[in-house]
Amino acid sequence: MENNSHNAVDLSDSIRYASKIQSALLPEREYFKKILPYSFILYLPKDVVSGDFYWIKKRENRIGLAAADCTGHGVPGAFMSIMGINFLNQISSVCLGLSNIILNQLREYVMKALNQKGENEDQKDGMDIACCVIDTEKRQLEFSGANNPLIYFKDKEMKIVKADRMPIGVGPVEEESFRKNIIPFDAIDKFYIFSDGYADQFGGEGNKKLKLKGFYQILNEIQEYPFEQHEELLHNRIKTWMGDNEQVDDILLIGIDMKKIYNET
Amino acid sequence: MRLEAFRIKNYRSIVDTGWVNVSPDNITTIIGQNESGKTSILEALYSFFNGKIHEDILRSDMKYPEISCAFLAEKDFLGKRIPTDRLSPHLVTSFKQRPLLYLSRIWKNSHHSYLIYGNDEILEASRENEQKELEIEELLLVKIEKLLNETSRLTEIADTAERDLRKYRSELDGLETKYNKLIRSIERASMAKREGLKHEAESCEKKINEIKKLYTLSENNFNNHNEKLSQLIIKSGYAGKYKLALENVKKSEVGLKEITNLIEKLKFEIQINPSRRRSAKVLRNLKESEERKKQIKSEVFRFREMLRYAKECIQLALQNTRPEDIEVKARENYEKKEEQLDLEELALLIFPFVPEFALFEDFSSLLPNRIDLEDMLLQNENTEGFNAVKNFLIVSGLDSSFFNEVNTRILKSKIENLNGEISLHFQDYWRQNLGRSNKIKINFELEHYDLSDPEKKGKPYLEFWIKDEKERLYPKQRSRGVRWFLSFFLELKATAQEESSRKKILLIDEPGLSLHARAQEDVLKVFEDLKSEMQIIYTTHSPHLVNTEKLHRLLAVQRADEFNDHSETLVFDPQKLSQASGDTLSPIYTLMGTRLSESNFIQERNNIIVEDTHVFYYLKNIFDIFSKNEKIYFLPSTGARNIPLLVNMMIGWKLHYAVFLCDHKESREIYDQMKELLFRGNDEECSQKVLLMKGVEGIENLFSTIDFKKHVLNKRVGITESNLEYIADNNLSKSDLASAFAMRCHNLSLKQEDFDEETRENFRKLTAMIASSVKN
Repeated sequence: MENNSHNAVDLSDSIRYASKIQSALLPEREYFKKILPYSFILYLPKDVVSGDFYWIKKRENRIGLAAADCTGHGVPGAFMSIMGINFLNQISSVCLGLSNIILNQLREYVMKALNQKGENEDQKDGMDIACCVIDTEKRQLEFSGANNPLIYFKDKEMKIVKADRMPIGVGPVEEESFRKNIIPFDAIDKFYIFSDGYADQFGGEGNKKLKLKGFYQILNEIQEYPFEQHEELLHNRIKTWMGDNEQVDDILLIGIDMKKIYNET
Repeated sequence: MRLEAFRIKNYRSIVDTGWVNVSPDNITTIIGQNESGKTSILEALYSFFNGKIHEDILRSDMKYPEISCAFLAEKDFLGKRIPTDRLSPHLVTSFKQRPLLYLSRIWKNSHHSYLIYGNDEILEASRENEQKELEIEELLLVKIEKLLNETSRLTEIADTAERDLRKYRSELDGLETKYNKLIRSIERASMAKREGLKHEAESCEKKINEIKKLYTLSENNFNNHNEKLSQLIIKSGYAGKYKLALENVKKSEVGLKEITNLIEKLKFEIQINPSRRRSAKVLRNLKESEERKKQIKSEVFRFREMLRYAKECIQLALQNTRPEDIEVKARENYEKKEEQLDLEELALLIFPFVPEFALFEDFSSLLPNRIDLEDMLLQNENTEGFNAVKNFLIVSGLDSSFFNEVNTRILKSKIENLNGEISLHFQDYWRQNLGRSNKIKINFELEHYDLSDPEKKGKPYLEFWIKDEKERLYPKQRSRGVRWFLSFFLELKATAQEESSRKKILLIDEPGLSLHARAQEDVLKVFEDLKSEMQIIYTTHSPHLVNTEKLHRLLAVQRADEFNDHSETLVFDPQKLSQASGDTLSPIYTLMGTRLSESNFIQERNNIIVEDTHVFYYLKNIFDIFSKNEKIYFLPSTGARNIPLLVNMMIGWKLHYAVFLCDHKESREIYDQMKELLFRGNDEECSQKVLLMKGVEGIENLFSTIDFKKHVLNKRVGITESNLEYIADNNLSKSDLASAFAMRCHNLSLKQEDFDEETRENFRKLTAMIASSVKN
């Protein structure tokens, strides 16, 4: 009995330590803010360690940005997220390619690391990700998504850029190149990328999933408020929605006020 | 320093070859039919070096030859050999860009030529400068005339003013005396006369005042003009000196021309009238005239120097330089200009450093059976076979001291060793068997005359043998071919071994005419062996003297109108061989087979040589999908190293070609090699023919990873390295993969849409690059 409790203490110590490692790998908020001053990250891990991760990298006039959601949560998800951050850093070590090329390469890295060859059991491991590249010279936003979309607003009107229905990792069908979507700066006021944790959260009156529809509605509603309040509003709204329910998954949501950025560049 | 290119004008059938590059690897082969002008090229180059021509080389228009050579010098040649401050900055800059030195020999008549530095551009600039100088001189003469006229006008005015002054002075003196007298008379005169005298005195005073005014006016006028005149007189002094110097130069030049004509006339007289008495008088006359010519020449030289100095002085004077500074500055300018080399002086300074051209028309000196040692030591050049034996001794490394050895046994032993060495060396080149299987051996021996020749009894002689195991025969008992080859071998080896500060260029006309085909190939071997030590330019008809692996060495020569022996000679370098006629190129066809373009394998145009079969598969299928309308014929080599051989064949077959290379170490080396050999280092020209896909190490890397997996590898696997690295890391066969791709293209009828954007973009660039190269 005493032995078991000893083991539990050891395990939680290990997990806390793992959390430290994960935090160390995630970009510091200050660094993020320095590159993208008009932005916020709502990052609510379900456990001590998280399967969601975010990533940012600046190379000359291009800024790469991603919000990813790895298979599973907790420790397995965290391992995968560490891999993801590492691979993205490796891919962008010299220059930042097009958003779809980044995802194509990331998929190759994951497939190679997990030794995936397209067999059925391979298909459970991987990640979904929304990847953007802000090109301040061309004044455009590139977006490619592996199952995760991008939402943007222009004059308070919401638009969705769909993701490809392919994960990062081996999928049921043979790999294709991810699509590259290009949106000029002046067509966007604000945009959001996120993992599925927010929309999958149970709560509300019928204790149901918020779903994407509910999530999009919240996003629409907060457009009435200044961008600086969005993080707090979104946090409060999910807390209210959750009520006494347990958080079902890691939550990650990144918002960027492009209008302010492109007015300054 | 090495010969890079030549240009021949007005030499026998040659009107103007234009600049023709010789092979960068030191062996240049000139092919062409009889009477095409091959030998003329060699002779013209030799004339460039020795400055001699025969009258029979003159064309019917009687224009004298002009032969130019471009030499590639060491980068520091100009600073090291010729002080750059004595050259025009333009020359120094152009040399820095490419260290080429241009020398032209231009004939004024059959006997006289001069060397001048420069190519067309430099000579044109120099002619323009000369023209400008002439214009400046004409302008100077106009200014001088004006100056002298002005001086004479002012002198006249000043003289007149001076005369007036004198006249007024004298009038004033008279009037003043008269006035003084009148004043004194008034004092003494009676009242009645006083009034009259007063009136007269007043009138006199009035006149005095009037003349004083005139005097002052004249004085001012005189002073003014005198000041101007004193300035003009200094200038006019220099102008006069200049005119005098000019006149002296002209007169002395006329004198020089007259005396030169006289000398020519006297020489002609001596030629046509060999009568002793008459000749003695003419000879005396000729001697005196030549002495006189020397004097006049030195006068011309002195007067020209004086003229240059006078010119500096008058130019400075006209620029209103302070009179006391004129001569100092003129001296400085004169000396500075004297130091500047003109193009003829520069050519004379460079000429001693250019390689020595040696023309071998025929190796008339064949190795004799024997030669007296005395004749060799006394350098009796008329002795039969002297040259061949001399060469033999040079190649053997022997000089006269060798034969001073008194101990016959030691001497014979040394000779035996040398015989072995020479035979071995010769056998390296001469591969023909004599008899059934025996290789040729060269022997020489030191013998002494015996009693059978009482006159020479006891005197040493050298005896030569060409032997095999069965036979020991004198050279004369062997075939002419063997003797010729031996002499040729000795001559070339000896030339290469001769110690000289100058490099050599051997000009050889039709080597090996009497040799068997295989022996002719041995001649090529000798050339190959010597090419690091000298440049060789030879003419031939024989296909066996053309190295088909190195057609970049060829120059094809033919008449503009092949059926007219009086039409001018044209020279085609390797890049223009396709313009030469089939008859001219017959030695190449003989070796390479004729008209491959008539088969369906390769076409006359649009041929692309690629490194390997796998590149062939990829390109063929990529073009089928991405650029179907382009008719391109891909020709696979067996590795990048063999591409130059294929290029040679294409040149030989007169087929249009381009080479496609991916960017790796070996292909870059091949690119550089072809750039140097075929395009004389011109990267722009080379890159149009040899397409190096920069940054793409292998054609497989043009596929995106996804397309590579899908269409080439046919496997779902993570690839984080380049496709080429993946192939290497996993020991995959490039050819198997390429053939799998070809099969997939065929079986699935792949279309452009089946490739992703990255691959499509790469393939479009690739097909556009290749297609544009065949259109050039």
